[in-house]
Amino acid sequence: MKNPVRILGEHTIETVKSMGRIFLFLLDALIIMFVPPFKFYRFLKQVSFIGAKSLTVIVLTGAFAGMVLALQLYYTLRKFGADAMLGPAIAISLIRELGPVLAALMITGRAGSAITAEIGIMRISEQIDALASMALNPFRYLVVPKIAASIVVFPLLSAIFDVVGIFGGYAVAVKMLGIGSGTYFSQMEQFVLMEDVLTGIYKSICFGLIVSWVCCYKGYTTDESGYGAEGVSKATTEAVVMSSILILVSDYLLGAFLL
Amino acid sequence: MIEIINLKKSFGNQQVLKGVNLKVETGEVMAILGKSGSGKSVLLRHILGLIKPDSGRVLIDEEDITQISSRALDRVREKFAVVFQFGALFDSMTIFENVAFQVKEKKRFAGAALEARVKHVLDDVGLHGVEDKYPGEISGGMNKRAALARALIMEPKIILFDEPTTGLDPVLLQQIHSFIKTTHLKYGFTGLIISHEVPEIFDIADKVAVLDEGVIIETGTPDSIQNSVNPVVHSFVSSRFAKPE
Repeated sequence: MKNPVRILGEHTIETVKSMGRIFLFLLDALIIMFVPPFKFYRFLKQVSFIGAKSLTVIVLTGAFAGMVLALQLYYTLRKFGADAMLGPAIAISLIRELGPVLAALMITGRAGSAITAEIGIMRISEQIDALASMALNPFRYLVVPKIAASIVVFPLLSAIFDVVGIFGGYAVAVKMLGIGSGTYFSQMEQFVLMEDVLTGIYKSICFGLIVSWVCCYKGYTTDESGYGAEGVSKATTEAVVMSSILILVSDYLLGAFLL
Repeated sequence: MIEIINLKKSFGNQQVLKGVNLKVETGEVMAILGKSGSGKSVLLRHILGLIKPDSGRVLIDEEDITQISSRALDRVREKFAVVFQFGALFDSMTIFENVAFQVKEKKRFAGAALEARVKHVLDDVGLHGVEDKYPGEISGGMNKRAALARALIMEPKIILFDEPTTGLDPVLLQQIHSFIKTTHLKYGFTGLIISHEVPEIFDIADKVAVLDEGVIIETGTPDSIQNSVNPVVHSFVSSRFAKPE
């Protein structure tokens, strides 16, 4: 039987090594991002795939998130006689917190999983090796456009989520709960600060980087997760789970730092 | 010229290459034969610089690619083209885009000249009317020929073939071998073919090396390999000659 201290030591060394590999992966991608030639068309294609094609999901979830917030906050605020504060409460919750987090989780489910599966299939079918054998850097073609597009697209989708959420909340607050239309928006203008908007944007940029980094890494190293289709499915699951956890952990850390 | 000197590689506790020595002269076609799991594909990945060896050297035109930077390795890779076991065509691109990809990215040709060049290499491998199809829409044999066309378009000095006829029926196997032979005569590349297609491979190889348990146990002309007295080589070759139809 192996010595438990030895097992713990081996496990720790392996964990540190794998963390090192993950960070070196990001470092390589960030270096190549700023070294020409730039693959602008591939970047635009990713903006379309991660961004434009996620719009339906973002609009739907944004609307319902705003509507649920309106319902829940109204019943809480009414107890304190502060139902006029419903508009600002919804807006601040969405802009600082729920918009960036929920939008990031939705994009992870829709685009992040697809990124891992796409790169993973290219890995197991030797398409990545084919690129390397042509003296073309696979990072430049597969990883960098996805990371760059995510950094641009996540804040935009998060902003759309916020706006749709605020109007979803408006529909419930004004049409169902009887809050005045003017009250809903005028209070919002007074209480939502530029600092809140910037907090949301910073968070979204971080989430974009984290999701694209994790999903690309998991796809690129699919052969470490397992063989064939099973390896791709395992890598995709791990990418989505790891991205989602990291979104929530970094949300707390960023929230604590930016508050 | 490709020269491999005392190449060793282990994965975990398993030593796959135990000191491979091999020399492929410029312009010749060498076939590497060996049983499944003998380390053929691992050897090929070392020649491509996709894996770093534990020890030993891989010399491409006298430059040791195990000791060079990734930028220098890319420069060496410009001399190469690879035909992968299952083609490794980009499945989201059409056959035309696949063949044209490398040329387009390296800005060698564009527009009508590129189109003419792609048509020319597709003609060389006998592919017509599939330019707009995706790899998933054509047969396995056509995929292998498209992969060969993609390899030929840059007119590389060296082409590595990783089991180019795996999974093909005898007719298609002969056809692919015939295309390798005719294109070798036309383009004059140095060829290294990983294969276990005995005796068919003897028709296209100038030299044959037999890899067994991580070492090259014999190198020679197809005739000398077929008449080898080495019991392992003899058993491998004769068992293949006797394979059921």
